[in-house]
Amino acid sequence: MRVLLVDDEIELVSTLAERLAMRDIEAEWTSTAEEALELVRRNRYDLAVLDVKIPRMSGLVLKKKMEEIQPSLHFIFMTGHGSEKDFAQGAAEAGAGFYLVKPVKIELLMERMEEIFRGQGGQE
Amino acid sequence: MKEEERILARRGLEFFGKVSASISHEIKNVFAIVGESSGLMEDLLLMHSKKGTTVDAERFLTLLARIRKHVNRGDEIVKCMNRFAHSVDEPVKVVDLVELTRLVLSLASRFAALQGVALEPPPEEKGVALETDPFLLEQLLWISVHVAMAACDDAKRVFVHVKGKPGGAEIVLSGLRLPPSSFPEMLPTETKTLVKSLGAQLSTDGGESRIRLLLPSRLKDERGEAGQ
Repeated sequence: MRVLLVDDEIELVSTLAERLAMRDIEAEWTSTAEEALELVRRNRYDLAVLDVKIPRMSGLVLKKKMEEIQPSLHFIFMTGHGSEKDFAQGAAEAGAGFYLVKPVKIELLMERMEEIFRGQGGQE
Repeated sequence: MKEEERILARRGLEFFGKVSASISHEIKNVFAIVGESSGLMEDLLLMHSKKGTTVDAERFLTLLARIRKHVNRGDEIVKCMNRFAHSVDEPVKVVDLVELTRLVLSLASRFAALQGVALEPPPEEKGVALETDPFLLEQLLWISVHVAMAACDDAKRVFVHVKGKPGGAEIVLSGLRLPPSSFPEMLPTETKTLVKSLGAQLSTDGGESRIRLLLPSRLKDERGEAGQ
Protein backbone atom coordinates (compact mmCIF):
# COMPACT_ATOMS: atom_id res chain seq x y z
CA MET A 1 0.00 0.00 0.00
CA ARG A 2 1.45 3.36 -1.03
CA VAL A 3 0.27 6.45 0.79
CA LEU A 4 0.91 10.17 0.31
CA LEU A 5 0.52 12.39 3.38
CA VAL A 6 0.00 16.14 2.91
CA ASP A 7 0.10 18.55 5.84
CA ASP A 8 1.89 21.87 6.35
CA GLU A 9 2.95 20.82 9.86
CA ILE A 10 6.21 19.16 8.82
CA GLU A 11 6.98 17.62 12.21
CA LEU A 12 3.54 16.05 12.27
CA VAL A 13 3.48 14.65 8.77
CA SER A 14 7.06 13.34 8.79
CA THR A 15 6.52 11.56 12.12
CA LEU A 16 3.26 10.07 10.94
CA ALA A 17 5.00 8.78 7.80
CA GLU A 18 7.68 7.14 9.94
CA ARG A 19 5.09 5.50 12.19
CA LEU A 20 3.17 4.17 9.19
CA ALA A 21 6.41 2.81 7.72
CA MET A 22 6.91 0.89 10.97
CA ARG A 23 3.52 -0.70 10.21
CA ASP A 24 4.59 -1.75 6.71
CA ILE A 25 2.84 1.12 4.94
CA GLU A 26 4.92 2.81 2.26
CA ALA A 27 4.30 6.43 3.19
CA GLU A 28 5.68 9.56 1.56
CA TRP A 29 4.95 13.07 2.73
CA THR A 30 4.97 16.68 1.66
CA SER A 31 4.01 19.96 3.29
CA THR A 32 2.78 21.78 0.17
CA ALA A 33 -0.10 21.31 -2.26
CA GLU A 34 2.17 22.11 -5.20
CA GLU A 35 4.62 19.33 -4.35
CA ALA A 36 1.75 16.94 -3.64
CA LEU A 37 0.48 17.46 -7.20
CA GLU A 38 3.97 16.96 -8.55
CA LEU A 39 4.37 13.71 -6.61
CA VAL A 40 1.00 12.43 -7.85
CA ARG A 41 2.05 13.22 -11.42
CA ARG A 42 5.28 11.25 -10.98
CA ASN A 43 4.17 8.32 -8.81
CA ARG A 44 1.19 6.09 -8.27
CA TYR A 45 -0.43 6.08 -4.84
CA ASP A 46 -3.30 4.09 -3.41
CA LEU A 47 -4.33 6.70 -0.87
CA ALA A 48 -3.78 10.38 -0.04
CA VAL A 49 -4.22 11.67 3.51
CA LEU A 50 -4.85 15.42 3.29
CA ASP A 51 -5.04 18.22 5.81
CA VAL A 52 -8.20 20.20 5.05
CA LYS A 53 -6.42 23.55 5.41
CA ILE A 54 -3.04 23.89 3.77
CA PRO A 55 -1.36 27.04 2.48
CA ARG A 56 -2.52 28.47 -0.85
CA MET A 57 -4.97 25.66 -1.64
CA SER A 58 -7.71 23.99 0.37
CA GLY A 59 -7.53 20.24 0.85
CA LEU A 60 -10.83 19.90 -1.01
CA VAL A 61 -9.46 21.68 -4.09
CA LEU A 62 -6.26 19.65 -3.85
CA LYS A 63 -8.31 16.45 -3.79
CA LYS A 64 -10.07 17.40 -7.02
CA LYS A 65 -6.79 18.24 -8.75
CA MET A 66 -5.22 14.97 -7.56
CA GLU A 67 -8.24 13.02 -8.78
CA GLU A 68 -7.84 14.53 -12.24
CA ILE A 69 -4.33 13.08 -12.33
CA GLN A 70 -5.11 9.76 -10.65
CA PRO A 71 -8.86 9.02 -10.72
CA SER A 72 -8.50 5.81 -8.70
CA LEU A 73 -6.89 7.55 -5.72
CA HIS A 74 -8.66 7.22 -2.35
CA PHE A 75 -8.73 9.98 0.26
CA ILE A 76 -8.80 10.54 3.99
CA PHE A 77 -9.05 14.09 5.37
CA MET A 78 -7.51 15.27 8.61
CA THR A 79 -8.48 18.56 10.23
CA GLY A 80 -7.60 20.65 13.27
CA HIS A 81 -11.20 21.33 14.19
CA GLY A 82 -13.39 22.43 11.38
CA SER A 83 -16.84 23.96 11.41
CA GLU A 84 -19.97 21.93 10.72
CA LYS A 85 -19.79 23.27 7.16
CA ASP A 86 -16.20 22.02 6.83
CA PHE A 87 -17.27 18.64 8.16
CA ALA A 88 -20.19 18.43 5.72
CA GLN A 89 -17.93 19.30 2.78
CA GLY A 90 -15.14 16.93 3.83
CA ALA A 91 -17.55 14.10 4.61
CA ALA A 92 -19.27 14.61 1.25
CA GLU A 93 -15.92 14.19 -0.47
CA ALA A 94 -14.54 11.21 1.42
CA GLY A 95 -17.36 9.84 3.59
CA ALA A 96 -18.11 10.82 7.19
CA GLY A 97 -15.82 8.19 8.71
CA PHE A 98 -12.93 9.36 6.57
CA TYR A 99 -12.87 12.91 7.88
CA LEU A 100 -10.71 12.61 10.98
CA VAL A 101 -10.16 15.25 13.64
CA LYS A 102 -6.62 15.81 14.96
CA PRO A 103 -5.00 14.47 17.02
CA VAL A 104 -5.74 11.26 15.13
CA LYS A 105 -4.90 7.96 16.83
CA ILE A 106 -2.76 5.87 14.52
CA GLU A 107 -4.93 2.84 15.26
CA LEU A 108 -7.97 4.71 13.89
CA LEU A 109 -6.05 5.84 10.81
CA MET A 110 -4.88 2.25 10.18
CA GLU A 111 -8.45 1.03 10.63
CA ARG A 112 -9.73 3.54 8.05
CA MET A 113 -6.95 2.60 5.65
CA GLU A 114 -7.88 -1.06 5.93
CA GLU A 115 -11.53 -0.20 5.27
CA ILE A 116 -10.51 1.64 2.11
CA PHE A 117 -8.56 -1.32 0.87
CA ARG A 118 -11.46 -3.60 1.59
CA GLY A 119 -13.39 -1.27 -0.73
CA GLN A 120 -15.54 0.39 1.89
CA GLY A 121 -14.77 4.08 1.69
CA GLY A 122 -12.45 7.01 1.13
CA GLN A 123 -14.20 8.11 -2.02
CA GLU A 124 -17.72 9.04 -2.96
CA MET B 1 -30.28 49.43 19.68
CA LYS B 2 -29.47 51.30 16.52
CA GLU B 3 -29.01 49.28 13.34
CA GLU B 4 -25.31 50.11 13.12
CA GLU B 5 -24.78 49.08 16.74
CA ARG B 6 -26.59 45.80 16.06
CA ILE B 7 -24.36 45.13 13.05
CA LEU B 8 -21.26 46.04 15.05
CA ALA B 9 -22.25 43.68 17.88
CA ARG B 10 -22.91 40.87 15.41
CA ARG B 11 -19.64 41.44 13.53
CA GLY B 12 -17.79 41.63 16.83
CA LEU B 13 -19.11 38.21 17.78
CA GLU B 14 -18.19 36.84 14.37
CA PHE B 15 -14.67 38.22 14.78
CA PHE B 16 -14.38 36.68 18.24
CA GLY B 17 -15.66 33.35 16.90
CA LYS B 18 -13.32 33.35 13.92
CA VAL B 19 -10.28 34.02 16.10
CA SER B 20 -11.36 31.40 18.67
CA ALA B 21 -11.87 28.77 15.95
CA SER B 22 -8.45 29.51 14.48
CA ILE B 23 -6.83 29.24 17.90
CA SER B 24 -8.51 25.89 18.59
CA HIS B 25 -7.26 24.67 15.21
CA GLU B 26 -3.72 25.72 16.12
CA ILE B 27 -3.92 24.00 19.48
CA LYS B 28 -5.17 20.82 17.82
CA ASN B 29 -2.07 20.87 15.62
CA VAL B 30 0.11 21.21 18.71
CA PHE B 31 -1.66 18.24 20.34
CA ALA B 32 -1.26 16.25 17.11
CA ILE B 33 2.50 16.85 16.98
CA VAL B 34 2.95 16.02 20.66
CA GLY B 35 0.77 12.92 20.17
CA GLU B 36 2.69 11.68 17.12
CA SER B 37 6.08 12.38 18.69
CA SER B 38 5.22 10.51 21.89
CA GLY B 39 3.59 7.78 19.77
CA LEU B 40 6.81 7.38 17.81
CA MET B 41 8.76 7.08 21.07
CA GLU B 42 6.36 4.36 22.15
CA ASP B 43 6.74 2.58 18.79
CA LEU B 44 10.53 2.71 19.09
CA LEU B 45 10.44 1.32 22.63
CA LEU B 46 8.11 -1.50 21.59
CA MET B 47 10.37 -2.32 18.67
CA HIS B 48 13.33 -2.28 21.02
CA SER B 49 11.71 -4.71 23.44
CA LYS B 50 10.45 -6.96 20.63
CA LYS B 51 13.58 -7.08 18.52
CA GLY B 52 16.15 -6.39 21.19
CA THR B 53 17.59 -3.43 19.23
CA THR B 54 19.53 -0.70 20.96
CA VAL B 55 17.60 2.33 22.12
CA ASP B 56 18.87 5.38 20.25
CA ALA B 57 19.20 7.93 23.05
CA GLU B 58 19.93 10.79 20.61
CA ARG B 59 16.70 10.05 18.78
CA PHE B 60 14.75 10.17 22.02
CA LEU B 61 16.39 13.43 23.04
CA THR B 62 15.45 14.94 19.67
CA LEU B 63 11.84 13.82 20.04
CA LEU B 64 11.70 15.13 23.61
CA ALA B 65 13.08 18.48 22.46
CA ARG B 66 10.38 18.60 19.79
CA ILE B 67 7.68 17.91 22.38
CA ARG B 68 9.07 20.68 24.60
CA LYS B 69 9.14 23.07 21.64
CA HIS B 70 5.51 22.44 20.82
CA VAL B 71 4.42 22.63 24.46
CA ASN B 72 6.00 26.11 24.44
CA ARG B 73 4.23 26.88 21.17
CA GLY B 74 0.93 25.81 22.75
CA ASP B 75 1.67 27.97 25.76
CA GLU B 76 2.26 31.02 23.52
CA ILE B 77 -0.99 30.35 21.65
CA VAL B 78 -2.93 30.12 24.92
CA LYS B 79 -1.28 33.33 26.21
CA CYS B 80 -2.42 35.13 23.04
CA MET B 81 -5.90 33.68 23.44
CA ASN B 82 -6.01 34.87 27.02
CA ARG B 83 -4.90 38.40 26.14
CA PHE B 84 -7.42 38.52 23.32
CA ALA B 85 -10.24 37.25 25.56
CA HIS B 86 -9.45 39.93 28.15
CA SER B 87 -9.56 42.69 25.55
CA VAL B 88 -13.34 42.82 26.01
CA ASP B 89 -13.07 43.40 29.78
CA GLU B 90 -13.11 47.19 29.60
CA PRO B 91 -14.70 49.29 26.86
CA VAL B 92 -11.99 51.93 27.18
CA LYS B 93 -8.50 51.51 28.55
CA VAL B 94 -4.91 52.55 28.01
CA VAL B 95 -3.16 50.06 25.75
CA ASP B 96 0.29 49.73 24.25
CA LEU B 97 -0.41 50.00 20.54
CA VAL B 98 2.77 48.12 19.60
CA GLU B 99 1.77 45.17 21.78
CA LEU B 100 -1.83 45.22 20.58
CA THR B 101 -0.65 45.25 16.96
CA ARG B 102 1.68 42.32 17.60
CA LEU B 103 -1.19 40.43 19.20
CA VAL B 104 -3.49 40.96 16.20
CA LEU B 105 -0.73 39.91 13.79
CA SER B 106 -0.10 36.82 15.84
CA LEU B 107 -3.83 35.97 15.78
CA ALA B 108 -3.89 36.51 12.01
CA SER B 109 -0.72 34.53 11.32
CA ARG B 110 -2.52 31.28 10.54
CA PHE B 111 -4.76 33.02 8.00
CA ALA B 112 -1.67 34.64 6.50
CA ALA B 113 0.13 31.28 6.26
CA LEU B 114 -2.86 29.77 4.45
CA GLN B 115 -2.60 32.56 1.89
CA GLY B 116 1.18 32.21 1.65
CA VAL B 117 1.70 35.68 3.13
CA ALA B 118 4.27 36.66 5.79
CA LEU B 119 3.21 39.26 8.35
CA GLU B 120 6.19 41.28 9.59
CA PRO B 121 5.42 42.57 13.09
CA PRO B 122 6.34 46.11 14.14
CA PRO B 123 10.07 46.35 14.87
CA GLU B 124 9.53 49.26 17.23
CA GLU B 125 10.99 48.54 20.64
CA LYS B 126 9.36 51.44 22.43
CA GLY B 127 5.67 51.17 23.25
CA VAL B 128 3.04 53.69 22.16
CA ALA B 129 0.37 54.33 24.79
CA LEU B 130 -3.18 55.06 23.68
CA GLU B 131 -6.55 55.25 25.41
CA THR B 132 -9.00 53.37 23.25
CA ASP B 133 -11.52 50.55 22.96
CA PRO B 134 -9.14 47.58 22.64
CA PHE B 135 -11.64 45.13 21.17
CA LEU B 136 -12.93 47.52 18.50
CA LEU B 137 -9.37 48.48 17.62
CA GLU B 138 -8.37 44.83 17.29
CA GLN B 139 -11.35 44.34 15.00
CA LEU B 140 -10.43 47.32 12.81
CA LEU B 141 -6.81 46.27 12.67
CA TRP B 142 -7.86 42.70 11.81
CA ILE B 143 -9.86 44.08 8.86
CA SER B 144 -6.91 46.22 7.75
CA VAL B 145 -4.53 43.26 7.95
CA HIS B 146 -6.89 41.07 5.91
CA VAL B 147 -7.24 43.75 3.23
CA ALA B 148 -3.44 44.08 3.20
CA MET B 149 -3.03 40.31 2.82
CA ALA B 150 -5.45 40.31 -0.11
CA ALA B 151 -3.62 43.21 -1.75
CA CYS B 152 0.04 42.50 -1.00
CA ASP B 153 2.56 42.64 -3.84
CA ASP B 154 4.49 39.71 -5.32
CA ALA B 155 6.89 39.56 -2.36
CA LYS B 156 3.90 38.44 -0.27
CA ARG B 157 5.16 40.27 2.81
CA VAL B 158 3.12 42.79 4.76
CA PHE B 159 5.23 45.14 6.88
CA VAL B 160 3.63 46.81 9.87
CA HIS B 161 4.92 49.89 11.68
CA VAL B 162 3.53 51.71 14.68
CA LYS B 163 4.46 55.30 15.40
CA GLY B 164 3.42 57.84 18.00
CA LYS B 165 2.24 61.15 16.53
CA PRO B 166 1.17 64.46 18.06
CA GLY B 167 -2.32 63.82 19.40
CA GLY B 168 -2.31 60.12 18.64
CA ALA B 169 -0.58 57.36 16.77
CA GLU B 170 -0.54 55.62 13.42
CA ILE B 171 -0.26 52.09 12.17
CA VAL B 172 1.08 51.70 8.64
CA LEU B 173 0.80 48.49 6.63
CA SER B 174 3.08 48.41 3.60
CA GLY B 175 4.26 46.03 0.88
CA LEU B 176 0.94 46.32 -0.94
CA ARG B 177 -0.29 46.85 -4.44
CA LEU B 178 -3.85 47.94 -3.92
CA PRO B 179 -5.96 47.92 -7.06
CA PRO B 180 -6.64 51.60 -7.93
CA SER B 181 -9.61 53.09 -6.09
CA SER B 182 -10.80 49.71 -4.90
CA PHE B 183 -9.79 50.18 -1.27
CA PRO B 184 -13.24 51.26 0.00
CA GLU B 185 -14.84 48.31 -1.80
CA MET B 186 -12.49 45.89 -0.07
CA LEU B 187 -13.67 46.97 3.38
CA PRO B 188 -16.56 45.14 5.07
CA THR B 189 -19.71 47.12 5.92
CA GLU B 190 -18.93 47.52 9.61
CA THR B 191 -15.65 49.34 8.91
CA LYS B 192 -17.22 52.79 8.80
CA THR B 193 -18.86 52.28 12.19
CA LEU B 194 -15.62 50.96 13.67
CA VAL B 195 -13.65 53.90 12.31
CA LYS B 196 -16.23 56.33 13.69
CA SER B 197 -16.42 54.62 17.10
CA LEU B 198 -12.66 54.76 17.46
CA GLY B 199 -12.35 58.34 16.18
CA ALA B 200 -9.92 56.89 13.63
CA GLN B 201 -9.03 57.54 10.02
CA LEU B 202 -8.38 54.69 7.63
CA SER B 203 -6.86 55.51 4.25
CA THR B 204 -4.35 54.50 1.62
CA ASP B 205 -1.32 56.48 0.61
CA GLY B 206 2.14 56.03 -0.86
CA GLY B 207 0.77 55.33 -4.35
CA GLU B 208 -1.73 52.73 -3.12
CA SER B 209 1.09 50.74 -1.56
CA ARG B 210 0.25 51.49 2.07
CA ILE B 211 -2.72 51.43 4.40
CA ARG B 212 -2.61 54.03 7.14
CA LEU B 213 -4.67 53.86 10.31
CA LEU B 214 -4.63 57.06 12.37
CA LEU B 215 -5.82 56.89 15.96
CA PRO B 216 -6.44 59.58 18.56
CA SER B 217 -4.48 59.41 21.79
CA ARG B 218 -7.71 59.46 23.76
CA LEU B 219 -11.06 58.06 22.81
CA LYS B 220 -14.04 60.38 23.10
CA ASP B 221 -17.53 59.07 23.56
CA GLU B 222 -20.47 60.02 21.40
CA ARG B 223 -21.16 63.09 23.50
CA GLY B 224 -17.72 64.42 22.69
CA GLU B 225 -16.45 63.86 26.22
CA ALA B 226 -13.26 62.09 27.11
CA GLY B 227 -13.73 58.32 27.53
CA GLN B 228 -13.97 56.65 30.93
